[in-house]
Amino acid sequence: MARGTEIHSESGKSSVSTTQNELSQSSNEELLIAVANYRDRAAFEQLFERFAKRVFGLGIKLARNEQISRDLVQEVMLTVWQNAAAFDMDRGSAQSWIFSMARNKCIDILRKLNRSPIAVTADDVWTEYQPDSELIEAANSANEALASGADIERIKRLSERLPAPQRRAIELVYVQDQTHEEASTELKIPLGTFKSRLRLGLIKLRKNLGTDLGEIQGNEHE
Amino acid sequence: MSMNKAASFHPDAGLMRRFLDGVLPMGASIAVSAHVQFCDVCAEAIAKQSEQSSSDWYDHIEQEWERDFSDILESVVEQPSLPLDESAVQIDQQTPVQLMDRRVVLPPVLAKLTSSELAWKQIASGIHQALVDVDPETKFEFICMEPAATVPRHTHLGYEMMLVLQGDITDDLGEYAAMDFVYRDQQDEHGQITNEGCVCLFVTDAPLLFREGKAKLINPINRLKHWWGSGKRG
Repeated sequence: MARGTEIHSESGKSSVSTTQNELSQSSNEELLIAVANYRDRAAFEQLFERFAKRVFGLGIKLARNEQISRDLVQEVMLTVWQNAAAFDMDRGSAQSWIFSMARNKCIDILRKLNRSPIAVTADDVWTEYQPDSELIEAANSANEALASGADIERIKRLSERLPAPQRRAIELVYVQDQTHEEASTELKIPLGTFKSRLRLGLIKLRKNLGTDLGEIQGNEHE
Repeated sequence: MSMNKAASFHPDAGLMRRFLDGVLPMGASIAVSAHVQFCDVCAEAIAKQSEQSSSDWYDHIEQEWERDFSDILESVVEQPSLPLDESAVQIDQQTPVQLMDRRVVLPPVLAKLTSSELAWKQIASGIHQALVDVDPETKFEFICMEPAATVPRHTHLGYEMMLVLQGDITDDLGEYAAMDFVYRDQQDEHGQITNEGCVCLFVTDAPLLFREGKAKLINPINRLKHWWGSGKRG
């Protein structure tokens, strides 16, 4: 969260108590998390102040048209407001996330104006890292094993070998039984980042589970 | 992510930069993207360069772009939040695609582009071409060459990007295999030959100028076809 800010929960709704000065000191990432997790309007206004003119400038550079550039500001900032949870801070900075989004949306607007007949969108061209299907499968099977009530002590023991952020994500969900939303709020990270850490943790846990089984079987043979 | 052997020829830093900045035509961007999707070296370079590109964008804001966006701000904050869309996670589809008589595993962006059937036609002895209308500025073509087929010596009035998708192809400056990305411009004169046959993607922003044999005769037609073909939606 923003430096020097406090989060209060009142009647089920979270809000952030900050002054404009404190907000102006906050990093883009801190502001995005406040928008993602608390729907913090003041934090969004600060992001808007920083990014709207930059998105407009990018629109002018790529489309050379004021109206398209204004539409771009509307589309990009709406996505920031509505989908801030999709920002994954483990993959890059907030400015990189917003820049990529603005470039892709602008290119898609221009594609439509040019009546491009191809099915490929800007997101297909400027792709994020695409996870390996084998890893996804491993994550899903680990997830099922854990959800079906695997030994909590064993999960905790195996989790100790994971990087701290991934271990924490697994503990919150599978040991403390929190929802993804609750866990991301507790960790003060966007939901998208939380889900990504959990998935990576599960993939590694699955590998450790396999090693662990191997060790047990190896011991039995001795 | 990658599934082929490591590529030996890659887009240079300047081209990567223009790709990330979004200033290349769509056809050229797709060629770069297709290489990056199957090249771990470039995927890593792109991740680093992305941060640099966005920093430059953020740091070099021109003050003249100050406008009143308060109406946009007001309309945006009235909108509800959306649930996290997890369908955005894509899994590599490595199903081979039929290109002429070959089965080729394509980078996802090209697999999507070729999901509707390509129309192949013979353009020279042992060479077939499938054009895809991608954008008004570039000519975007898949080329399938039979073993021992050759492209006559030529120069370029603009640039030529070549991405090898399968097989081998050689020119005066190197020998290329699957996923090699080669950029040539006005300074380069070359002819190409394949030993075992190949499928390549070519993206050009201006016609070739043939330097030898009967191919020289088609230079004026090529020029007309290129400008008509790439400019027809402009």
